[in-house]
Amino acid sequence: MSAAVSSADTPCDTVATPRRSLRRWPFEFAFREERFFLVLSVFIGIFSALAVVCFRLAIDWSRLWLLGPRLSPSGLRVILAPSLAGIVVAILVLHAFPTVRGSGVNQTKAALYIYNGYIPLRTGVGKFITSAWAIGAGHSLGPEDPSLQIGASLASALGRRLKLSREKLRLLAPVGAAAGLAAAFNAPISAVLFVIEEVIGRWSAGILGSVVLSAVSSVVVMRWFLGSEPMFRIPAVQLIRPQELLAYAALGIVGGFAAVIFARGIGFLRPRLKVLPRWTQYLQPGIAGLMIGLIGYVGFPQVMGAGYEYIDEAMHGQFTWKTLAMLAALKILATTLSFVSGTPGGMFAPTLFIGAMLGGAVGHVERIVFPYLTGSVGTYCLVGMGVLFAGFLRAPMTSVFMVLEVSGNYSIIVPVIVANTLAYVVSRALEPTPIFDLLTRQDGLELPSLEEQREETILRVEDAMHAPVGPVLDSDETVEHVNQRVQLSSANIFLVHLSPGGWTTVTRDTVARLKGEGKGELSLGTALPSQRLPCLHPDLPLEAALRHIHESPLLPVVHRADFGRLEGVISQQDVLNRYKLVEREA
Amino acid sequence: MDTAEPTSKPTAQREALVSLVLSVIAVAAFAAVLGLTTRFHSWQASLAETMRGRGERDLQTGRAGRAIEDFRSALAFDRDNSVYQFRLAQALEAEGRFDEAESYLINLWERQPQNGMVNVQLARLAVHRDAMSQTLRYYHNAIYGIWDSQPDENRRAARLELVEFLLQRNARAQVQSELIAMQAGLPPDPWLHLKVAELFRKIDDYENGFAQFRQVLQLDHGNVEAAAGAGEAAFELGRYRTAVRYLESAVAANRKDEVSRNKLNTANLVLASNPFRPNVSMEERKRRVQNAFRAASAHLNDCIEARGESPGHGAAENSIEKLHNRQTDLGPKLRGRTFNDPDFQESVMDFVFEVEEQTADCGSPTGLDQALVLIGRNREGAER
Repeated sequence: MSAAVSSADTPCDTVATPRRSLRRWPFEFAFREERFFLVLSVFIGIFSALAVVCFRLAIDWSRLWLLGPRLSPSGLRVILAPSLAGIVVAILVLHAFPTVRGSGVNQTKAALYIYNGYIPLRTGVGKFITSAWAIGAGHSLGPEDPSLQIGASLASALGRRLKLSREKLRLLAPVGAAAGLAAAFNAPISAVLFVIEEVIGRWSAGILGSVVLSAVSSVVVMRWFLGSEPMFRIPAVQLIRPQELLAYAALGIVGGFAAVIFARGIGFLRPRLKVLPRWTQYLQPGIAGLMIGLIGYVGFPQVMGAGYEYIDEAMHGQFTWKTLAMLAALKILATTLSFVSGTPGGMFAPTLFIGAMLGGAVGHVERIVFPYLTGSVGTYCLVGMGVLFAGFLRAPMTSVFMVLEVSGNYSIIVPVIVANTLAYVVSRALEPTPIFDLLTRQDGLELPSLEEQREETILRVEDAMHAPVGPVLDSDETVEHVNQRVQLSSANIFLVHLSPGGWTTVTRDTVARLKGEGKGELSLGTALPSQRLPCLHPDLPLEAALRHIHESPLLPVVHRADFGRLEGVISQQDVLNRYKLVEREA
Repeated sequence: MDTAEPTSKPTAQREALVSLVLSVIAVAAFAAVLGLTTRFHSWQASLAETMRGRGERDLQTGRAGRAIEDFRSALAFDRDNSVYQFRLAQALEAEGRFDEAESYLINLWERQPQNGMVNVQLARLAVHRDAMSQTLRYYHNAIYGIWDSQPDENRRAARLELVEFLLQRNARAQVQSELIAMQAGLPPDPWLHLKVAELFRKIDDYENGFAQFRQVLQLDHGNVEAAAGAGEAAFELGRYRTAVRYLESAVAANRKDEVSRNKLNTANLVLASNPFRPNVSMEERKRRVQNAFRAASAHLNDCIEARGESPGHGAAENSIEKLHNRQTDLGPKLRGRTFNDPDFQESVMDFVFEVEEQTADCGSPTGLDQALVLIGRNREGAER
């Protein structure tokens, strides 16, 4: 909707940035649907949370049933459980739930941008069953991304059942996704930010309220059942000397490289395994499970499953730096194997695990080399989680808030920002395509990306405007006087500054015609039909000019604080020329 | 893939109906999930208890490593369970993984800073780190903290641990204040009184120690250790008659108690040799003074001989030489009339005590010499 405001106090029809159109329905209908959509978001949050609670129970039940009650499973079970579960999962994926491969983030994004928000409920059910089984059996995957897809799937099904408009249906998927993720993570802010950064792919004020409502209601319900404690017991965190930020910066750089290795491993293996004959897809999750089981059997059962318990242990200094480094490396391997084999499951938890272990290892080594460092190993683990999140998932804002939320500790924000930024920069420099975009492209899709959007050059009105060619006329001038001035110029169209405010245009022919009609003594404002033009401002996006350029061949660009002060003019040709220039430069 | 078409525009009635239906479904789903989670959590709780039981057994049999794994497994089911966390911390401590144990305990402490058990455990870790101020803080938290069961017993045990710690650091004044605070609330338990009395004795607080030993004997008349302790305390306090009474009963009950026997002999000797005791006749006092003089003179001569010095040839400044001169001077007067003078007797005894003091480096005094030393000290103490 363009904000067309015209009054005596407002001398110019201002042009705002684009906002969603309400033209389809009368305003009251639109308002009511907005309101109902918000109510619906709360229900989506509740249902998603209930589903995620059941999902978590299912994972725990699978784990108990397949691996036994001991925290570190032992014996042949540790090899057989992930292998056999992998085969079962493969059969389910290939025959019953073909759309549940992968993490679920891309599929939700695709639903938003390609399938008008349509995610079959069967996908959610399949994701629930296969992910719970795989994670419970020890595959190195996490429950967060599947929870996101389960939430989105529920929301989509509900929207379809209620026969919502296509526009609303499309928005429901991210609303459900935020609810699912918030419940899985026990972190509403991170969930909202992640959905904006990775699922919606752009900042959209229109959906923000619904996403926040669903995430909050979801977390409230989830905490009712599973408690409100932070995911980890956070040790004392402190930053005594600012110089210690250098140590965290080093962790950020190391984490950036690790993230690239992790992403490239997945990016390299996934398409190669996908093109193998179909019969191999029955075996791939099983073989991945076998290899993970072997890793567990030889003494590293920590890499199996989501691994939150071990993150907690690492935070409390219960591993040596060598063990931590080994666990980080093996978790990268195990997660890569699980993910590229097509086993359904998420990458959030493994990313946090790798980050925590890497952070702990780097922290240990730094403390050995520089004994005066005061940060505990737990602090480095915590920062490491954010580092890998920023570097691997390439969601820098989410990574910062995620660390703060899961730890419930805000005193660590400065090291987290420093380390995450460096990890993000290193990762982006070495691997231009973020992991989710890479996976999307491997699947043959092209979806919008917030990171790409951030990189894009935004063209503004000031990039295309220019100074007026002819004189700027005043509406108080007589037609006769104006005619004389027009004759001295080569331009055909002229801007007219209206009194008391506002702008319009007049052509050379119109001025001549008015003079011919004997209106030479009249003021130009009186003689001209009253038509005010919309005013542009230099900082507006160029597309804003494009949407109004049909109203006049020339539009005024005025100062925001003084609408009578002309900054320049812009025409349709100016806009097109600018776009052509950008294309040529590209 | 299908796409949904917009087919309906919401109306107020429809929205209300949909909201109502969704609310009903939400309530039903909520109840169903609640039932499911309750059952699942109770199953997990039973598994956790099983793992905890294994952990307890492993811990009792000294397999702390296995106990750690058991308690960790229990905690995986119920990670906020403070009992599991506490037992895990104990297992970690038993395994020598003090930092890990402390992290669990700190976590518990932050939730329950008044928890006595947690504070004691943290105090033990602080003892291990030799962190005096933290040790005192945690022990005092435990002493004045909250205990789930047997609070008095646990508080006493915590204070006794603190006392042991302070004794190791030779912080006698702090030990004494802790023991004085403790003795006020002791129940009528001979063992406890005996323990406290022994601790008083360790810091040389014989007055309070004696009181506690007597308390034990009032509760348990036949307590030999208490009798020996009371005798020793009375002996150290210079109350030799009392000491003799207790030491006699201690020796009678335990004839192998050489320490008490020696103290008894010494006490008897002190009583028999002290010329300043009341109700001693003039003749007896003179006799005792003479005996004391003879013993001191013999000790002095032995000492001079042991040092290889010849009497009368040492420097005038030499204190031994001075004593020898005084001995030579006093000796003849002991047989004269002046010996009846109480002041003279006092000066003789001053000489005796000085000899025993100055010749202490010639070997530990025994027998009468030791008794004279004690009499001298007792007299000095009384004068002070």
